[in-house]
Amino acid sequence: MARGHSEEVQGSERQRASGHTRRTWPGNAGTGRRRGRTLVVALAVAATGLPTAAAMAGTAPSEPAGELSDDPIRVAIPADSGGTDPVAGATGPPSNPMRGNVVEMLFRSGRGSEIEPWLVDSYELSDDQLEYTMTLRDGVLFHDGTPLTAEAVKWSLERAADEQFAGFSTGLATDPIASIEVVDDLTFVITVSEPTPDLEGRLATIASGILSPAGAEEAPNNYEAYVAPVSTGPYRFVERVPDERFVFERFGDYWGGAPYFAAQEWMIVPEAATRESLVLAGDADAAVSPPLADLSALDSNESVQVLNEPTARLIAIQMNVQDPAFSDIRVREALNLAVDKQAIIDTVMFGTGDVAASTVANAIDPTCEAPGPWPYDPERAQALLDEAGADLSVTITTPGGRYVQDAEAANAVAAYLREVGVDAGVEVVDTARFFEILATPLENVGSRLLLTGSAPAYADGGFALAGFVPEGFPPAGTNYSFVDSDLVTESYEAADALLGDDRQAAFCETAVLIWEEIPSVYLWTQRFPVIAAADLTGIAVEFDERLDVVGAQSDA
Amino acid sequence: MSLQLAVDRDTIDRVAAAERSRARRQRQLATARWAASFIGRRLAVSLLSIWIVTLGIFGLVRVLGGDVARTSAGPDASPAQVEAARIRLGLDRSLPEQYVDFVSGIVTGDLGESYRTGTPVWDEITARLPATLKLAVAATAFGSLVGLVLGGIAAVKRGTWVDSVVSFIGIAGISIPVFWLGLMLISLLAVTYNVFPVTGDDEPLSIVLPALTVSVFPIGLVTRMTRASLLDTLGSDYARTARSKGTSRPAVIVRHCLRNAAIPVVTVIGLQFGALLGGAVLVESVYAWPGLGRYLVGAVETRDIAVVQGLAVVFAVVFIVVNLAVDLLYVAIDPRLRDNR
Repeated sequence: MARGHSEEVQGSERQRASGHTRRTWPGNAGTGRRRGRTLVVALAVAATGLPTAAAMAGTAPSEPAGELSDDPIRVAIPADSGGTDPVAGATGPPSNPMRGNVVEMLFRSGRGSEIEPWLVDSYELSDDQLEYTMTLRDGVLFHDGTPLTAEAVKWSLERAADEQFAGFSTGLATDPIASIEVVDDLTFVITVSEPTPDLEGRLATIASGILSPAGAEEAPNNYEAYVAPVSTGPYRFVERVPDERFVFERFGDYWGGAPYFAAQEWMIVPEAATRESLVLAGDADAAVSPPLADLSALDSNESVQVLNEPTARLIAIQMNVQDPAFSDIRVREALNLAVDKQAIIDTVMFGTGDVAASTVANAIDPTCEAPGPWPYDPERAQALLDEAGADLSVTITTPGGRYVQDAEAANAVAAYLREVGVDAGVEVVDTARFFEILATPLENVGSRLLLTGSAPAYADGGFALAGFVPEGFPPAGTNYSFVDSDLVTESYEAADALLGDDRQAAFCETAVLIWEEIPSVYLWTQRFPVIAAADLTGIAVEFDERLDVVGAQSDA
Repeated sequence: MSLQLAVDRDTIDRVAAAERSRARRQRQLATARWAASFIGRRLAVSLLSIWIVTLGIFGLVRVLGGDVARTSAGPDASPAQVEAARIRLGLDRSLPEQYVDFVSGIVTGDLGESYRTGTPVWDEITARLPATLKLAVAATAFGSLVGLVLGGIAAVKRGTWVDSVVSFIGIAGISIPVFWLGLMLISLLAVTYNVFPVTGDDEPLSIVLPALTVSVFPIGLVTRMTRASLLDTLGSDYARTARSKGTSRPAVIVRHCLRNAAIPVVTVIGLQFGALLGGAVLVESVYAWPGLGRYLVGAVETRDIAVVQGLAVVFAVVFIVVNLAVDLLYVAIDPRLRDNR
């Protein structure tokens, strides 16, 4: 499967401990086409000289101090997810409540980009990088009371690989897996068809969620539709009313200790002002994406707290560099210089962005030195366009409402482009049409400008940059700018052949090369605004736009 | 002689009674025949309308643009995965085959499955219909009652300050954006005074704000319609005749004018009710009301074809049934319509 910067963030897990200590995309960087080792394993190999290495043990969730609450925590979110079955539609919006709350995976990722063992206690990678021997945490129970076993892992992953559930997420998780062999109750061996340095990241996506095989026999579940997932998370699934709510209840036997709140109710509330009102009225404890224009006022409201954390979503306008209109790099540079991104962030985005300074979002690798941002210099932009003899007439195609203020931002960009003599218009399309446009092959693209918001499914530089090599041309991949640079491709492939820190540093350099190719009008990396009751503690926003409330407590 | 007269009188009465009874039976029979014929004609037209709706919605969904299979598979799905989704959704078949499948599904009561939720569309609709019905009934009842009263007062007090105030309310009702009004009501009555819940359908008071918001437009419309219609009848010959015969003004208004003024008002109320049964999209979004309107918006956005098609057919049927009921109500209100058939 071709990979690239995914249009949707999928499959990350909650992250309590985080940190960045290396100049890397920490965790399991790599690509699906060329494989390397995981950073963790590579470091261990380098240090010990041994062919295998025990990996990190996941940090167990900390139990809440004091008495548990009898109340639910209520969170208002803007959109429903595609479903509840991890392999058949549960990906949906990144804010999918099933992840981490109900369904757990072998690994997890989160802010700080570390991908760490979660249900896996420890694991070893064979010398040829083809066999992962994994040992599960002992004493983990499914919500139906049955123990987590290697057989259950095998059943879950083989179900995810079943062709009837074919989809991006399931393929991402299971494509590399050739077989799974159960050794004993807690030990199993995953054999991959070729070295897959980012297998842990793949196994952190929700499609590889671990489910109870026994639960599949209980109504309303069956093998084809596991709609009431029985997994190992801190909350047990109660109900999902499409477009209305998810309800989970506390799982008292959770291996990480019972969570503070007795239940979770995720309310689907499409209107931002209503979500805000729910928190202000005390009818909800937190709300995702309140009205952006209200953020400053909310910030000074003592009854609520505002979280506005950076994410890995990079908003950019993709140019078709193969088209004569954009084949001249001076034109592409001019378009970047013509747009005052900070002004748009301040006035249109209400501060919910950071000017893009690299090809990958800073949240993926805060330690990678960014080559940008492009300054706002309309005079220089005008001069470059004149120098290139460009007479541009372009339309910016943008989804309407898929990303924060996307159509408004596209109109603002068009206005800046018109300031330097570009005849720029905006076409707003709905999600279904946008997906179709994304898949348009090169021969039908022309001189379109396409606003995209890319985010990797898990923090991985190789993953994020895979969309800039020729084999990622749509419809097979996500190279929406149709970059076909020998320099970039060679750099990418060279980075992909390296291990450990060298590999990550090389990907960082690849990102710089792509930046210098200027395939996009780089706009900003998205922040993820959340408001919550002032007395709510322990909530966190992950790099992949997921609100983690498992550790939440109320001081009220 | 007197006995003979008495017998003749009894005979005449019996014959007259029999004649009246026969005439009544004939009228009832004629009414039943008319009703059967009327309903039969309307059903035929309704079936034709529904068929046209099926054609229209089937075509519209497919010319909207957007690849349903790709939407279902996800933006980053490979071509093979998109094709797998296309086959799973039955979109690999020819359009005539898909249409026949759609129509035969309607006939058999199978509206297909939502690809987003994997559940039968009919189940999804019936799960949401009560919420929509509740909101529609509450808003229509409240809006109609208030509108009728205000419109009646305005007509009776024509030209006074009361008329001006009511007319302003009528204009405001049809002009005010329900989206804005909903947010204002939430801000005032849910956030500031905390009297009503902000959203949901799980408390008795939950319906108050949505119903109030939805009813504002019917209040304006019914007020204006009632006022105009009642003014027409108040100036009619039969109203003047009734007054000249000594009937009090209130009695003339209630017995003669209101009934005659009711037909256009009933039409408006019926159309409003029918429209609301199709879901009050904006209000349902503002209040996160779990009705059909929100469901439809989400389905259109994601090209959940089975849902969009199924909802369109259900809305068409509901609208047609409501209109049929309104037509029958006309006859009950004004028998002349039946006699002049």
